[in-house]
Parts: sequence; structure tokens; C-alpha cells
Amino acid sequence: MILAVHGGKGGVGKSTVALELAAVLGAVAVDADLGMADLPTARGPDLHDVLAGRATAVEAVREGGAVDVLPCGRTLAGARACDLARLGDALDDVARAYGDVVVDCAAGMRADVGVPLAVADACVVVTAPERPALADAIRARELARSFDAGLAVVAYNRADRAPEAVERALGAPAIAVPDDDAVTSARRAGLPVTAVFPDAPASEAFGRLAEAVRSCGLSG
Amino acid sequence: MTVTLERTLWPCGDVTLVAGVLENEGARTRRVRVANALDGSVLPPRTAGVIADGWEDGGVECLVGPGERVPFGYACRATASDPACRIVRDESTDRVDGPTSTPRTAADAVRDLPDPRPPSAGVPIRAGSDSDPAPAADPASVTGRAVETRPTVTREATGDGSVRDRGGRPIPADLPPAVAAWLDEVAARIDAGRATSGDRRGLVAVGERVREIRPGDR
Repeated sequence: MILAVHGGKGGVGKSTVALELAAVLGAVAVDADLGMADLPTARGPDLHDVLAGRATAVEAVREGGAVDVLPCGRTLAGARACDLARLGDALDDVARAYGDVVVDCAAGMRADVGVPLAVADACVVVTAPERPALADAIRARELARSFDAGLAVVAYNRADRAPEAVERALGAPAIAVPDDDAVTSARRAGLPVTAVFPDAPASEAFGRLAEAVRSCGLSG
Repeated sequence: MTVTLERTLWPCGDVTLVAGVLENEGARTRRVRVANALDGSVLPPRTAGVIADGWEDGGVECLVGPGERVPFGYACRATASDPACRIVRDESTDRVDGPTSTPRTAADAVRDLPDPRPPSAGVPIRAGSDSDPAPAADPASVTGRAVETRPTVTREATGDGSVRDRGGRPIPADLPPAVAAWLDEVAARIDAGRATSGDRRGLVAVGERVREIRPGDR
């Protein structure tokens, strides 16, 4: 299963949601934000190397931590050298080797978002209680539809409750993820909050998000 | 051609405002592209700073259903002259609910969506290097272990200028620094009995790759 986590607007928490979903679902988190990678990284081959033909996607996956991650490079030169045509096959390769994959998509609606949506079985839209964020989320939902990536659930980030208007606008159930200092602390350490603070309110919300994904038959 | 185009111009300071209406008098939906014909750059309509759907490369593309009238408008940094815009493509289509109604593939995404890569002019050029710099080490990697000091790697320059690893074996001059550093780290973990399954998988993959590209190497 490949699950694309996107949302259009930057800064709404896509990377956090992707990392947490990967942790709860036992999936590989792939950082597909070629220009502004966010997920934890480490030395060794990364997605820039994969898309430049210097490494295979499977050998670039870092195992052994709280979450298996295929990190992305941080350099402009690395991003420039990427061949987007390789991205779809790279995600498929990781899914074949590991089973479940959660893709942390870039902001915007460019090819590095479209390709993961095209190969994904479903997507999660992340938005926040800001008018521009919801407008971008609606555009992101439309982009996902054009690639036949069904919307499994909406992550309404940094909010205590998800308004019905959001569910109506996006056409999918929405789960609120509360603003929680535990998330900040965990991300600062490069770890998912669900692993470090399993009893935190945000951890419970991420668990419900993962359960919503499972209920769509998308992950074991 | 069953689609007609009505045009209206309003000179407004340094720009010209252009309004148009496409009308389909035929029995089938038409996919129409209208291009600016004025001698200046196009300022397409925007909503909250976002360019309206269908606009790119100085023109707009839309579907016009049977008997339907589709309005559009834009501004152009040019003096008014007629015709301000014209139909450059008009073709019949069976798709009636928008150009994005059919599921698209990864290839479609690469072809149709904007390129996310930074422009080459924005990429710094480092003298004497044709490869990417190694990514900065993240002090808190995904392994969740506390920050640890990287193993010290012994590299010795020999009299002939070549560089050798800790076992005295020569390191190829074309080995990227990031790869050499990774191999050294793996070697250090193996020596310390702390090799991970990821290390083993990586080494096997590297070995297979080396055998593919340099069959003579063992």
C-alpha cells in the first residue's frame, strides 16, 4: 500500500502526519519533498541519489529506528539533478520490498506531488484551521482525484475539533490533531510522538488517523 | 469550427484589459485554447494569488459544452489592438466534466505538472566538484539513539599521492566522499560488533552494483 500525505499549503504539518502515520502503521516513510526535505536524515544514499540513478530505492531506506525512512537530500544541486520520471518506480520498489509506504509530499501542486498521488492507493490531506490552508486542501483534493487517489481521511492539524464544514468541503471524515508540545519535543529529536509519548493527546489522534486508514482496507 | 469568440478591449493605463466569451454552437463538447495576440506579457486572473484553472503560457484552455457560453478575461502589458486574442486550438472531445476527469499516470504528472526542481541558475556551483556535497549529518537521526561521535577514520596519504583505508587498501580516487564516509562508518560498526541489518542490506546492494558496473572487481 502506498499512502500519499499532502495538503497543498506548506507548514500545515504534512511531514509530522506522514512520520506519525508511518510509525503507527509500521510503514516506510518516504520524504518526497525534493527541494525542502523535512523528515530525519542520515548519512548514506537518499532520494536525490535514487532519482539521479546513483542508488536503488530499497538500499536508500534507513532501517532500525522508530520508523524506517527513505530520507531526501538537502542540497539544491541534488534536487536539480533529480529525474522525476524515476519517482513512481522508486515508490513502487519500496512498496514491493517493505509492504506499506507513507509518502511525505511537498507543498504545492507540482510533479513531485502528482507522481506520488498517481502511484498511491489513497491519500491523506492535511490542513489546519486557516482559510488559505482549507482552500489549498480543496485544490489538493482535486489534484488527488485527477490521479484516482481516494481521500482516506483528513488530518485537521493543530485543532481541538474538526468542523463539519471541513468534512463537507473535502468529502471525507476529518480527525483533529490537537496542538501538543509533545509533538514539538519529539520532532526536535527526529522521532515520532507516538513512540516517545504514546499517551500524549496528539498520539491518540494519530492513532485514530491510522485506524481510519486501516478501516479503508489500506494497511494490515 | 463551431466555437465563436467575442472580444472586448479596455485600455487602462499601461495595460489592456481583455474580456472574451466563447460560444459553442455545435452538438459536441469542444476543447478550446485561446492565446493572447497582444504584444506584451499576460496577467492571468488570480484568486487569492493563485492563477485560475486553465491558464498557462499566455493563454487559457477550457471545455465548452454544446450551446454553452464560457467567459474569460485577463490583462496584458501592451497597448490595445484588435484582435487581442484568438482561438488557436478547437477540437472535439468526449470528456464532458473537465480535463482532469480521467485518472492520470505518473508519466502524466511529470509531463503536465510544473517541474519542482530549482532552476539551474539558483544552484550554487562549487569549484572543483562535480558531485553533490554530502548531506549534513542530522544530530538526531531516525535511529533514535543519542547523538554519538562519528568514528574516527584513518586515512593516510602515501608517497605516491594515493589514499588508503585503514587496512592499507587503496581507495579509488573517483569514490565520492559521502560513499567513502559511509563505508568507513559501516566498517567501524562491524569492527565494534554493532552492524545493523540496514548495513548488511546496503553492503549487499553495493556489492551487487559494483559487480554490475565493474565485473572485474571482486
